[in-house]
Amino acid sequence: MTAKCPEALELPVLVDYWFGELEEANTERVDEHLLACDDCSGTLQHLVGIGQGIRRLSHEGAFSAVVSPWFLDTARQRGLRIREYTVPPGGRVECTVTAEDDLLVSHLRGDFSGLSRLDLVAQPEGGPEQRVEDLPVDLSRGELILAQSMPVVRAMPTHVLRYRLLAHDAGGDRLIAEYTFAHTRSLP
Amino acid sequence: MTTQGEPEVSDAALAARVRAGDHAAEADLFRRLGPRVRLYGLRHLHDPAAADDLVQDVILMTFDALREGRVREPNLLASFVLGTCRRVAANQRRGVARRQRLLDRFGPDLAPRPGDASGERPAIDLVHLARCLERLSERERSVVVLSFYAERDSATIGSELGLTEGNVRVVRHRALARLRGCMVSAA
Repeated sequence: MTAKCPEALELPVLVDYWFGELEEANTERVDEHLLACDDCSGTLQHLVGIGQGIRRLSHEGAFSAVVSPWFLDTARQRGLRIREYTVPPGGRVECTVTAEDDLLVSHLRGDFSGLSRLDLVAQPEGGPEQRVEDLPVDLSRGELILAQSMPVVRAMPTHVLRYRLLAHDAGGDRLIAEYTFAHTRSLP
Repeated sequence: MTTQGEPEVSDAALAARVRAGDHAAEADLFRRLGPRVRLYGLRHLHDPAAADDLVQDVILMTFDALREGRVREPNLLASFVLGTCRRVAANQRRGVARRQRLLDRFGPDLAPRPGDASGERPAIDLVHLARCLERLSERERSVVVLSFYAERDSATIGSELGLTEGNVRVVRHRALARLRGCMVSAA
C-alpha cells in the first residue's frame, strides 16, 4: 500500500464507480484501490467536488439547462420556489421573475413525435439569434423544459424573446413551433 | 498525499511506525487515510455526516488494530481498512434502517427538514464551474445536472432525455472529463 499509484484507474471507471454502475466485483476492486491510492482517490475527490458544485449551482439556478420532470420534482422536494410558464405552439406569455423565485422554468409544448433531432433558436427582439442544436429531450413527451439562468434573467431589461423549435434532418430545417415571451423586469 | 520534493513514505512504512507507537506517524497516516475512507463513505452511504462518522470509527479501529498487532502485514493495510469500512458501514446502515422504522411508526413530524441540495460546501470555485458548465453542450449539461442534482441512474436519465443508457454514460464520461479539464486549467 503506497501513496503512488501503480496502475491509475481511468476516469470513466471512476465515474461509473461513483454512480454505482460497475458490477459488484469491479466495485470492490475499485474500493480497495482507492483506499490505497492517493492519486486515484484525489482524482475522484475532484470529481466529487465538481458534483457538489453542480448540485449547488443547480439549486441556485445559476445556469441554463434543458431539464426533466424529475429535476423539477427534486427541486420542489428540496423546497425551491419555481416560477413556471407553459406555452402552447404559437403561444405568447407575459412573464417576469421576482426576488422570491428560486428557479424560472419554461415548458414549450408541441408535437415532436417522429422527429430525429430538435433544435432551439432563441432571439431577443432586435437582437441576434442563438441556436442550440440537438436538444436532449424525450421527443415522445411533447414538451421541452428549459430552466433559465437566474442571474441572466434577473439582469434582463423588459423585452420580448422569441423561441423557435426546428426539426433538423437531411432535408434541412423545418419549423415546428414558435413561442413568445414578453418579459417584464420586476426587480430593481 | 505527499508534498512535492519530500521523500516518499509508503502507507506500509507509516503503519509499521504506528504499530511501534509513533504518534507523528499516526497523524500522517490519518491525513492519508481520512480522505480515502470519507470517499468510501460518500460512495456507499450517500450522506456526508455518515461518511464523517465512518472516518472516525474506521481510523480509530485501524490504529487500535495496528497498535495491538492485529494487522500482521502492513502491506495489507488497504485490505484491513476496506474490511473495517464494510463492517462499520453495514452497522451504520442498520442504524439508519432502525431510525427509518421509528420514523415510519411515529410519523413525519420526526423527520429531518429537507436541507439544500448539496449536503456540504463544495471546495471548488463555483463561479468558474458555472462558466465551465456553460461551455458544455446542451446534452452534456443536462446529463451531468440530472446525474448529480436529481441523482438518477443512467437508465432513468436516458428515459427522461430520450437517450440510451449507454449514451448517457458516454456523454457523462465526456462531460466530466471536459469539466475536470476546464477546472484544472483554471487552477
